[in-house]
This record gives sequence, structure tokens and C-alpha cells, in this order.
Amino acid sequence: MLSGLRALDLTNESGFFCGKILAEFGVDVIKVEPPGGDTARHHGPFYKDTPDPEKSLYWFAFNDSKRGITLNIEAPEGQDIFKKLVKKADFVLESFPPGHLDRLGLGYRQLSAINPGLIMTAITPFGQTGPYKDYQGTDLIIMAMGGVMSLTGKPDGIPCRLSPDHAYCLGGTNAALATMIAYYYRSWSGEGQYIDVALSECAVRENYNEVPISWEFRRYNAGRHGDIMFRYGVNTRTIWPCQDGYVTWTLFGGTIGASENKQLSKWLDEEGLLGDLKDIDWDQFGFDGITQEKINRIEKPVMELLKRYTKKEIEGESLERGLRISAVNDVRDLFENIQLKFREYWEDIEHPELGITAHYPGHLFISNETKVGPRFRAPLIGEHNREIYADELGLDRDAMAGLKQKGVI
Amino acid sequence: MDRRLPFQGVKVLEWTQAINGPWTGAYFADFGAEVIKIESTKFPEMARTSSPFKDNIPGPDRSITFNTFNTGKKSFTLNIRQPRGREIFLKLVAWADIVLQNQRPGLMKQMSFGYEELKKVKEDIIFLEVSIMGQEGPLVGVGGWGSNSMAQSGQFYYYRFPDDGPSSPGFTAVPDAIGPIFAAMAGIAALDYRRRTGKGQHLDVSQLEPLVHFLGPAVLNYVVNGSIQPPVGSRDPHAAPHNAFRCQGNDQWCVISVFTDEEWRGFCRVLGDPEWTKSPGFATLTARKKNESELEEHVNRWTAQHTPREVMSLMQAAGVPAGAVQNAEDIVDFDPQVKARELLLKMHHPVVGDYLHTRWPFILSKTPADIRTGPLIGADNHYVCTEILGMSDEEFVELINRDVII
Repeated sequence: MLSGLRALDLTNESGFFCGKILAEFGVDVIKVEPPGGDTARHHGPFYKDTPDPEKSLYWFAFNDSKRGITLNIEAPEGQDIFKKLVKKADFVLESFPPGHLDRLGLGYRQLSAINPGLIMTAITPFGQTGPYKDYQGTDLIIMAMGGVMSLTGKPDGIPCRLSPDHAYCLGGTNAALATMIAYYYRSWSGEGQYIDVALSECAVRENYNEVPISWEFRRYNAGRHGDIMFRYGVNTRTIWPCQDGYVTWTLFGGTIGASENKQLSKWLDEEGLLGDLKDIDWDQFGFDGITQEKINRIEKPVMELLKRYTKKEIEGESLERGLRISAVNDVRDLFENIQLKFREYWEDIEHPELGITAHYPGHLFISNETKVGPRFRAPLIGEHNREIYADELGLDRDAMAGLKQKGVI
Repeated sequence: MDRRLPFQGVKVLEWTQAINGPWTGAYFADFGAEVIKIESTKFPEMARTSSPFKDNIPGPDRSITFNTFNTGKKSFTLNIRQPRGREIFLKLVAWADIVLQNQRPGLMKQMSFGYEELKKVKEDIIFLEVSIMGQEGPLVGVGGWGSNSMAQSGQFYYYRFPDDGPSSPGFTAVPDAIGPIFAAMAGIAALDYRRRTGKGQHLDVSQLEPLVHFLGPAVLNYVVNGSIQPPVGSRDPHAAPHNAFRCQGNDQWCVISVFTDEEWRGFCRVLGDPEWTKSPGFATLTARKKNESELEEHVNRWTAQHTPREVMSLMQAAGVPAGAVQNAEDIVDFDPQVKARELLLKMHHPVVGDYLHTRWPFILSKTPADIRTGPLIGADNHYVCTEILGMSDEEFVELINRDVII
């Protein structure tokens, strides 16, 4: 959808996801790695569990659909080459500590003098300004500072971050959106600009329910409740064990819950588990003044019911009966998920070097005009050096050999 | 002040509720688009009936939650189930560049407001439909909430330590914060595509599909190695110590994340290089991973003597990534970074009064967001009818009398 645009991607793992999304939208994203390759290539898991910079599944997953060159931007000759590339680029994506690129002569001021239409997206843990700007932040630190971690985990256990790299993916997603907003502005104004993306702020925005609303108006810190949701002064269960794993379901009152609760009662009745729940008038049922004892009385037979079945069986029943129960899928379940199958989600991406074709997570959404999703595998180290340096910049064989010898490319 | 904003001149018509759809529309409104939200006073959308309310008194204009997701929009209360209302809705479709909706999948089609019908009214319309599972497919009927897409997409499976069951981050439906970002990108790219090709398009954006990408490495690990990557909680396979640690005070926690040898040396220095740090059992990352529980006991003994903020500043001064497990109170009332960067904006709403609002987490140097409070219900009825649709005041009054505007 966004073909004909180019991004130079200088990010580390905290920013990979931004370029990945732009690339899946059709932008020609060129990943710029230091000679020898990015350090994230040493992150597992690896193909056949063999550590190798060309076999990192971590690298594959977050750098698909990008081309790749090696360039030492710390060296003056590397900086000259980078500036040449900037002339033809629409976006520069970077995740260095604040001020680092300025010191190399590659900051926004210097680059926008070369290309006034340039959009430069800077991704850092805490942003370009403020007392924490030079603080180090990793995925864990960002999730903690953003507050979601204070909500996740058992009440008496250790606060739990969300899935690994969640903060990085979330930040990259926000950065890609910000880049597109700036691009849209440029499309009619001709002006480029600089974008300051703070990963910690992305995490705070994700924590939308607590910050600032809950604290400002309820003076209440939600805390960790494990598989329970605390609301309206009572605990309701949100994750339920079943025969082969977990499912999610939450009790609702009022019109939102009435028809579902009636269906669930019917199922409980069929299983001989309804008991005295038969006396509840679900049309009148609500959370106003409800007691924990009553919630427990409703949830107890539901717990017994769900334990009798597998994730798949429950999902089938849920669909049939009009319940909002979903399986807590693991990665294997994802491949059996009938919704994703129906929507032809999985994308076959070839890895000729490994002799395999792998199913990748596919389209970001469905459009009737174009496909937006992974297009080809992540680059090998310096895979497109020749295309870029020789074919585009016109460097001859000797010049390239010289740069290689000096460790520039 | 005359501000230039990226989407000035862009027109969005939305029929949305709760979070997923409204949040998508808010990106357009805050960056300059004119966004008209179709509403009903008889059946106010879910967010208008969600607490907290001003002074704990419910009312469509009293919900703080509503304002979070509907900044800068205009509200038009139109009964689109009525023939005259239907006609007016289609006139607004002709006016719009983007029609955005997140009603129950299939509902708009049932009402003969599907893509094909909208296209007849405006050939190059961009129809942006957002939902939990997508507009089509066998699980569309389950629908549900953010927790359903957290479960379906594989996210929930990883919200835990290896020995525990999955945990839920409470009310915070993570996909509701992520889906709208993808939906907004789809809409922007479609505007650009239309500018270049003259073609509109139909966009079906689910929460489920983009979220699976967040687990990319684990998915590929299953695809090529057949392994189900185990959950690690707050630990990390490439770092140690890497966890939350108990601090001084009641349920106070810090986080420390040591990846490199240099960070390990900095970490030891901060602790005063105690004897245990010199043991071969902790000398390398491999050794520390092997003895991680013992390592964490040592770390906990030290952190227990400090507050989370002390740990953060001591460690950060030595170049070691560290932070505090902040709760809402810490972020709103204390965090100096949040204050310095004005992440929380002071807003004023005619009914709610003064309240705080979290701005978008990115700052565009030339065109920062212009964030205004959400509309009162039906606030823009007169404007929409007379200014956009060119009706006379008499016609407008008649629509009210005939319950077309409700």
C-alpha cells in the first residue's frame, strides 16, 4: 500500500518492529547493520536450535520484508555513504541513546539539511528529553515503569511482565503509526519532521484503564489479581482451567450478560450442574450490591463444567451456544485456530539457504485492494550491499573492496 | 493559533462504541481530521455508560472513560434505522473520506450499509471496519472483549511464570490499546493509496491478527523446530539477573535487567562487590542462568534494604538497566519523567470539569497532536445539519420533532 517509499532502519531490537510494519505495508526498508551483523542475530531461538547469526528466529520474526546492508556509521567514510543514502530516503528509523547520532554528524538537523523532506523517527526507552532521558531501558524496565506489570501476576507472587518483547513490539507499532502520520503530512505540505517516541510512554498509554482515570477518580491502585478480575468491589474469575489448558470467560450482569448467562445456565442444567442457580432471573441480575458469596456460588459450577472439557470442545460449545468463551491458545493451537485458517492468515515465506518454506504470521488486516503482510524473509548479513552500493551509488569493485578492508561495509 | 495538522481536510464518519473503534477515530481527530460520531441518546454507546462518572452520578456526558477515546470529535445523534435518518447517513457517507465502524460484525451489512452499498454512494470511499476477530470467519460470533483476543492470539499464554497459570492485567484489555493503532495505520495508508490511485477500499482490521506478530519468535520456533516456547515471566533467556525484586515497603518492587558483562560489573559495583558476586557460579551469563534462583535470593536481600526508586537511581548511575514497578499512583503523582514531558495533559470538560488525559506517546516536532475533550452527546447536531448538510433551521427542527435526530 505504501510502495515507492524507502526507510533506512538503524534500530536495535527495541525498534525492529517499526521497520517490520512499514516493510509489510510495502515500504522499501533497508536494515543498516554494523559490519559483521546486528547483535540481535545472536538472540535465540535458532533454526534447529543451532546458534548462528544467519539462523536466529528472533531476527527472522522482526526483520522480515526488509533488505539489508552493512555499514559502519561510526567511521567518517561510513557517514559519507549514509548521507548519500539519506538523499533518496523518506524515513530514517533509529534507536540510539539521545544525542548519539548528533555527535556522529547524523542527527536530524544535519540530515534534514541534506533532505528537507526526511522524516526521522527516534525510538528510545524514555524519550529525548527529561530527567530519565539517559536511563537504560529494556523490555522489562519499560513494562515496569509503564505500570501494566503492577497489574499482572499472582497477588502474593512476583509482578509479571507481559509476553517477552511486548514493550518493544508495542513501541514499534506506535512508532510506525507516528511515521505514517508524519508521512501523510508531508504528502501535501512537502515538509519532513522529527518524531520522538518514548517506549515508556507507549506502555503508559497501554495502561489506559488505570492511568490516569482510575487513580485520579477512584484513588485506587488495582494491583495484581492473577486469574481473577477485581471489579465493582468483588472478584470475578477471568481465566479458567480446563482439561488441557485454560480458557477465558468473565461474568457480566445487565443486558450485556443476560442472554449469555441464560445460555450458560442451560448448559449447566444439561450437565446436571445448575443446582440453585436455576432461581436466578438473569434479566434482573447485575453487579449492583452483589456479594462475593453470590459470585462464588455462580462460578463454582462453571468451574466444574469447564474442567470436564478440552479447549477445543469448549470453543465449539461456546460458538454453538452463543457464549463468549475463548481458548487460551499456545503457539500450536494458533495453527489449528479455525478463524485464522478461514481467513487464510498464514503466509509462506521461503528460506532458500535453509531449504525450507515457513509459515509466518500473515496479513496485518484484510484489504480488498492490496495485501499488507510479510513479503519475504529477513536479510542475510550484507545481503544487499552490492545492490545498494554498486548498482545504486555506483561504487566500483575496488572502492567496495577498499571499504570492506577498512571495516566500513 | 493557526496550526497545521496532518489530517486537516480529511473527513471521517464513525459509528462506533466502547474502545476499539472510538480509539481509532481519535487518532484522526487529534491530528486534524473532522470526525463526526453517529450516536443515539436513547441507546448511548457503551463508553458513555461506563464508570467512573463525575461525582459518581451516571449520565452520558458524565463518563470520564468516554472522553479518553473520543477526543476532538463531533457528536451527531441520528436515528439511522429510520428512513429519513438512513438518507441523512448516506449523505454523510458521500461527504466522508473514511467511514469507520466497530458494531457487531455483519450488523451494517444487515442494515444495507455494507461496502457495496456505501460504494454506490461514494465510489472511492474507504470503509474501515474494526473488530475483535475480523468481519468474517467461524469465530466471529464469539466476539467478546479484549480478553478474548488476548486468549485467542496467544498473548495470555505468556502472561505468567512457568509454574503458574496465566494472569490477566485486570481491566486493561491490552488488545484494545493495540488494535486501534493498526486500524489507524490501515486508514492512513488507504488515504494515501487513494491519493495516488484514485481508488477507495474495504479494510477489515481484527485485534487477533496483528497481535500474533508480537509472538513472532515463538511462532517460528514452533513452525521450524516444533517447540512450544515456555513462558518465562519476568525472566529472560539472555539475561541474569533479570526479574522483579522485592524492595523496602509494602508490596514495593524494582526491576533489574543485566544483559552484558559490563552491566554485570556495574551491578556488582553498586552492591559494593560482596564476596558472593566473585564466585565462579555467577561469573558468566551461562553460570548465572544456571544458578538463577540462588542469584535472585542474593539480589532480593540487597533490594529489600532499598526503595524501588533508590535501586533505580543507583543502578542507572552505574549504567545498569533498572526501574520501579510503578502503579497508577506512582505514574500520575510522582514520575518526574512523566511530569517533565507533560505526558498527562490537564483537560477541561464542561460537565466533568478538570481531568487528566494521557497524550499520544510520540511527539511530532512540526505537527504535535491537538487534543481537545470529547463531545457532549448531540453537541454538533445543528452544525452537522446546517453547515455540512446545508439544511435550513426549519428542516433541522422538523428532524428533531420527527425523532430522526434523537
